[in-house]
Amino acid sequence: MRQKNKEYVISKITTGKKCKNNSRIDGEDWVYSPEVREHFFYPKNILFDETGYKADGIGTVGSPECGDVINVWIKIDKMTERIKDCKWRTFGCASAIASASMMSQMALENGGMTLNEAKNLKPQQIIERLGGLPDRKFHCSVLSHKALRDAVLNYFEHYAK
Amino acid sequence: MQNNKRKFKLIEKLNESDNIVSLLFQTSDNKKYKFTAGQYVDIKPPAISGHGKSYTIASAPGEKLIKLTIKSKGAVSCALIDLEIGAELELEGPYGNFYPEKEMKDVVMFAGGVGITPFYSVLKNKFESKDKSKTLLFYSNKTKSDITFFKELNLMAKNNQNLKIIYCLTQEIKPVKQIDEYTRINKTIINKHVALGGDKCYYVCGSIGFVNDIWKMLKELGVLEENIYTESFY
Amino acid sequence: MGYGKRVYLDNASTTPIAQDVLDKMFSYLKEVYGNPSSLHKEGRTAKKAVQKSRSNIASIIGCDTDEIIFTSGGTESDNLALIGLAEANRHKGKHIITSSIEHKAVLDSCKELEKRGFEVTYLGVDGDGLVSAENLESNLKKDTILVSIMYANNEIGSIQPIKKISKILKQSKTANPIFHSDACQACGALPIKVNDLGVDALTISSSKIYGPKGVGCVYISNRVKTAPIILGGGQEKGIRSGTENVASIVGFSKALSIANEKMEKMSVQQTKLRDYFISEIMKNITDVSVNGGIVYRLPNNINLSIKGVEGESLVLMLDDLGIACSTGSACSSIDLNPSHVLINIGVPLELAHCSVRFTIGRYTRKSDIDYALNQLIDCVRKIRSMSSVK
Repeated sequence: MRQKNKEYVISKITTGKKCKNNSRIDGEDWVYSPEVREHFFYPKNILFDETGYKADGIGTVGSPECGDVINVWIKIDKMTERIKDCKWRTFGCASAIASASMMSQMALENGGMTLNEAKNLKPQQIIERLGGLPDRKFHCSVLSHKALRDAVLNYFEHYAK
Repeated sequence: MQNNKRKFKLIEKLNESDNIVSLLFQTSDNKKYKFTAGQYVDIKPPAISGHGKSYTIASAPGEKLIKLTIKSKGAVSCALIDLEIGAELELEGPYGNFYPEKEMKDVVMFAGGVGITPFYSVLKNKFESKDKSKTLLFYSNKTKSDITFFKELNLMAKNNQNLKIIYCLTQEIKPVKQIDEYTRINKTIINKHVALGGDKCYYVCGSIGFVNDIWKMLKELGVLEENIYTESFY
Repeated sequence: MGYGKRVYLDNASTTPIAQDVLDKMFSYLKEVYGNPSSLHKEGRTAKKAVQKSRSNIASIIGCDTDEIIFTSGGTESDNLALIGLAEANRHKGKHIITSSIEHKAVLDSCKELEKRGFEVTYLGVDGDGLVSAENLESNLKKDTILVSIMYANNEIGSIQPIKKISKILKQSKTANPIFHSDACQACGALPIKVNDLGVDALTISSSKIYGPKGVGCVYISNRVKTAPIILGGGQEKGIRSGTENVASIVGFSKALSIANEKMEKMSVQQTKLRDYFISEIMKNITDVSVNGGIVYRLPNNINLSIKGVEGESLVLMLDDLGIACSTGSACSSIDLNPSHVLINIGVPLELAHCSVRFTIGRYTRKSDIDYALNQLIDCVRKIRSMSSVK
């Protein structure tokens, strides 16, 4: 009888953990998701030095006073009108860095996003790929969304004429 | 981003519903304020020491006064609502690309609570410009007394056969006049009212949770990512 | 992990429990389980333990035994001091003076009192985080009933002129308000004899002095009246109801004894490490500024702004390398506002977001500081390489 109770207790703890994971995906608890951790500690597509980088479009969002800034540089394949390179730098927290890195990865996947896709890469899409972020970190993904959008619009303004 | 700050004066306050107030501003220099329907401005009231916030303009571009419709939740919003008539403040913007260029497509809008603001501006602008595309608006609130712009929206729908509004209340005991659904918006409700094929655009505006839920539902119903536009209030 | 152990440099947040304290507490947890209000032997034993602890704490801070009220910690003590003292004395006046860099427990209690009809003056501080006693004096009004100024600040370590302020308040012809000081950070680092300081009320927290969490006390002089904020069984002279947390109170008392004994030695040891850490950082990292003054500063407090390096990202990166510290950046806070302390001492917003705080502890060694220094240099280099702010 005692053994049985012990088993019940153990399985309950395991179930408890599972529920916690699920709520993490919906962004309720601030726990590092493996994806955020990966993109924070091994961020992808950083542009360390922009001298000589011939960007087709540049987007800058945020300010140091706000505690969040992101710069995005993109190169466009003029034949296919897809993003062929996407680089960034940011001044911000772990969520901001992870969002920027994930955004750049998504922009380059599957042969590169079309300009329409990139213009409308939503914060929800970035957060879903990051395995969720707490609501108070939502604005970090908005920054990446806006910066990529601005880079595309900047390209239209200067190059597509 | 340009640093576009202009001074505005608070002319009037209107109680829209239980905890939602509209503030009407005029430019201090009396010159016209140019913006696109659906855009927002950044404001930091003097009483606040930390960050300001972004607020969508609820008035249409052609109107004389700039209307901001604000829910009394959070320090910044409450400080704005507490402003005295005649108070002057700086509004920065207009910013945002929530409602993009293609005005001729049929549109489905999802508004959660005070998320109605960009749609209100867009709809007023649309019908003034005689745009013939069809609009279906799902408007979700807790109870009937929470519905902002109820009279104005119904009048718009009455005068424009291209606008249909589906009101959803999540905490009301039915039945209530003019209300269509008594539950949170779900896939069944969307399927019931929307013919999902065709080249439509879907716009979702409201709290982070509301927008996330609707976005997921639309994708599960097969709507393409590129046809969904979101704006979350936070 | 390269270093083989964690380097904990967040002692201002909370401290690990001292082994002697833990040892003392254990038997009380297990064996002295009675309710101190009960008539039987188990109750009397528990009551004796509480009274002995109370008497020890009272003798350390130089007050009467019955002037110590046990609470659940620093926050509750601050709430009781502000709200309890204000409400009990509202017939004498409704004006309160405090500083703009107090702990939120004091500031939010003041906001609550404002809702209840009190008027609160929040004194500004200078660039070093110091209140001007003269400025305080000029803000006194006939109906000022309470002044609350923290002894030492938790974020920047600034030490206020408590004795000077007390003298002014006692000698003032305008008003002689009750003087409270939050000494949670000062305790263990600075002398806290209440009559020397000249305070009528004082907050101490166990979790900052290597004691158990969830317990603290407030000294309230018998000269002043206070109202309870927690109602019920009437414990602690009716000022703080609730069954006493016997084992934690015993632990708290032991922790305070140890902290008091070690105070001088720790002060010297930590000042040396603090100054060494700061000077090495300045030598090896460019564009770094110290937040707060250096003269009237807690021996263990280092608070810096590192340009281009957002605080939360630095803290998380250091954490991954085994180093615990904290930040005053906006992104790290629940309300998304940067530290009110940094803003009020005039740190520009951009640098407030780049702030990092290291607070040395009793168990910190020079080798820990050297390890933290090397990792800090590396992390700053990495974060700056990907920063938008150059």
